[in-house]
Amino acid sequence: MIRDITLGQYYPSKSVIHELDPRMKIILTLIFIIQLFIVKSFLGFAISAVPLVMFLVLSKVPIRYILRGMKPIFFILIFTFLLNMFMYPGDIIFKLGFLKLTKQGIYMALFMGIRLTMLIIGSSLLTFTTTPIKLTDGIEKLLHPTKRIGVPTHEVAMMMSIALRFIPTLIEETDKIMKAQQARGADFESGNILQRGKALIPILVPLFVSAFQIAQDLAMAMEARCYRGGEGRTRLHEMRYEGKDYIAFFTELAFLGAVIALRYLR
Amino acid sequence: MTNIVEIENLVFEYIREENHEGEHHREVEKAIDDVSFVVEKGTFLAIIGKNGSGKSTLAKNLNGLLLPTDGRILIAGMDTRDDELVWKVRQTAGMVFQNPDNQLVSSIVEDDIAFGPENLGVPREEIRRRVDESIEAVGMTEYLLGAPHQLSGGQKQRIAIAGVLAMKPDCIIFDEPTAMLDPQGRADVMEIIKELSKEGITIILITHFMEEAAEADRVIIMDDGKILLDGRPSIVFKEEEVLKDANMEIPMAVDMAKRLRKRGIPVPDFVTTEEELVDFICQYK
Amino acid sequence: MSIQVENIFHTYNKGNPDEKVALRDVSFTVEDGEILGVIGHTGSGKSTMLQHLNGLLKPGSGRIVVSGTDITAQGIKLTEIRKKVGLVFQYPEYQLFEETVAKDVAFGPKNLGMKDDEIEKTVRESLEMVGLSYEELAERSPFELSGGQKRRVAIAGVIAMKPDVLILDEPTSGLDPFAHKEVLNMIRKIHKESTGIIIFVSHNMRDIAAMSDKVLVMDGGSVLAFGEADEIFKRREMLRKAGLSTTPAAVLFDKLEDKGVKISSDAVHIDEVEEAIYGYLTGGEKDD
Repeated sequence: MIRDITLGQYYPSKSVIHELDPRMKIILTLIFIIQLFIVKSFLGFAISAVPLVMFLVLSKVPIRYILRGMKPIFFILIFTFLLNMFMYPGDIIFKLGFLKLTKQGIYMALFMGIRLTMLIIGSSLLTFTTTPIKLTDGIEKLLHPTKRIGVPTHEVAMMMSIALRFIPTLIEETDKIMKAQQARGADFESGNILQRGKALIPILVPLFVSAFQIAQDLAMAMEARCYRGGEGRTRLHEMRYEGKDYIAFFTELAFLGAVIALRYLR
Repeated sequence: MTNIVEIENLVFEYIREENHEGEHHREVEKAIDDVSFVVEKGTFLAIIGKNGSGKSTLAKNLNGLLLPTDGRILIAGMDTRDDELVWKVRQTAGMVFQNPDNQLVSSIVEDDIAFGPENLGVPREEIRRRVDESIEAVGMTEYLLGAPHQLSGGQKQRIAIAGVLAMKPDCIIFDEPTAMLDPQGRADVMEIIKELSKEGITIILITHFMEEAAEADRVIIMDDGKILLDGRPSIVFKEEEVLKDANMEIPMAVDMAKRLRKRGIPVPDFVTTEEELVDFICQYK
Repeated sequence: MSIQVENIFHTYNKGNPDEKVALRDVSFTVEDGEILGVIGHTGSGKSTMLQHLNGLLKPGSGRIVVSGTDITAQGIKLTEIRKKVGLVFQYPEYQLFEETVAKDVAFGPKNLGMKDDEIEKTVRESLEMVGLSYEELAERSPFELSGGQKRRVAIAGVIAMKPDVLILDEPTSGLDPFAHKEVLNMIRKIHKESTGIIIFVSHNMRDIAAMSDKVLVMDGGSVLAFGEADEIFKRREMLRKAGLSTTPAAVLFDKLEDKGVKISSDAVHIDEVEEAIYGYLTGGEKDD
């Protein structure tokens, strides 16, 4: 169930890409997404694919892992593909009822399909190679300038990382509670929507009680370990841009330049 | 020897609310009722008592998580009520809690151990050193990059101890650290506590296991917010009547030593743990 | 009344690369009037086994017969199983969710389709059985109670379903020695007055030794030993090899053995241990 979803799940490995600064990886991902939207030709996609494949190979994340991660959205991909192919107006090649296969439709379907696939692979590469903790740290640091206008960046990042820490705990807790109520004859599987909704109460109430308990205990434990907000905190993993970050940045920038040139200079 | 903890006439009150047959009751209860004692630096002190005896409330008063209603507590001379000193107090007297799951902050072990020193503003290289040292002290080095939710209860508790050690405390308060663990986890945690005590860290162990208290240099027995008994384990465990009234059982080794003494075997007074009893019996080999 | 477990196998994630055999050929029988103590360290398969007895998990193969009914048979109704076997999980207080104690205890009986007057009666009886006053607590919120009281209410919620077999997974964990003793006495009372067969899991060997007629030792998903409690505790070597911290007496003997003092004794109870050690100490002196 929830555990099976690998889309964007961290793949532990020690590659150059894993070791890039999380901020740089977020920036690179954003640039790459922009680049995909600038592209207007298949040649543009071919150029964009070069850095994507390069980073992919360097990341040492197996293709199988990436494909498995895409399984849940495979359906969406096929759906948009077919929708574009048959619903796009243009020169009709083939007609079946209200479905019209057009030349422009095929072009559009391929075009959008490639863009979507590259978009998903590109952005999941970020989460494949960056632990959630580093990701939140990176977001915090990137948003740091907005702190002056009152955005609580540290607090938001802290909440996100605590949420990540306790998701497995709460899943376990839910499992435990469900089993205990089932042992008392609770039935979650039959009945209409109303009955099923009502059947959730014996799970939700204990789950909330338990979540509040966790929150209370955790707040006390954090205070005991001298937590007092982001002010004056140092970090074990201080983020620092290094040579490889700059290399990655300028490489990606070069491809962005190429794509822009291809679109506007011709 | 200097005193690391000084408690003077500590009173802690809380308000108990309860709905009974539609009526709303509010009562002021004394969780701790005029308690005074000092703890010498380097002592291994066990505080024992049943639930509701005030022992956990006392623990939370020791590092300023709760503040006295009356009286005062000094940690290494610092008053816990002083807002300026509260962070220094918490750094000096670290705390390990009962529930191993609810005290780990980060989803990566090394980040969790680093949490305390990070909050204290320790420089990065020094944090790295402390994290590595602390995880080694609890024998969990191989899990440095692991995730807490994949560890057993005992292992989580060891990580929690490492997290406190990384703050370089003089004193560690353990609030029923083994209550939710299986026998293996319990033994591992007790082993680490004894080791830390040997290294000179002051230990205050809140527990309801008599066997654990027997390992300490000094035992305080609490009941109903007051101190019932205070002294060396061998002295405290002799007060069988008092212990019985407080619904507490003496440890097996103490019981056995007493039984043997009754039959004319000269078991020395200091024998309170199984190890000590075994050592004694071995003399007859 | 009886419960027969015959050659149970269970595999988690069957067919997946992370496949794990959790139970391997588990068999045992408990007769009416018996208390079965189950021991084994964390991960030995105890919990998996308990969940089978209650129908929460289905065995890969093998069968479980409770009072003549095969609860592993195809098409058997779950409520039918729950009527026969009540399961109290570790730290059961987290299952409380209703506004009042009485409603919470009534949750199970209601799910089994008991009639209103019957429910009222069983709620009252169950609360009294676990040593709580119906008059005092029935209308109170379960969340206002003390830890020990919450646990009793949770246990009452299961015995209110009037099962033939009551299973308790570490019913005393996290309790102080006083509450601990009370819960053990409560189990004895339930056994005497209401439920004929009790199966309980504990890490506390002293409790197992004091309470059980039979003992089941689990290790690595298999049954390491099963038999009369006294017989099992005499097999110190076997228990030690399984990494089970046994009774305080056995721990003492084991520690002595490590130091080269071998006291050959079957002693389990403290009086016997005293005798054995006294014998060694006085006998040893004579030899010199």
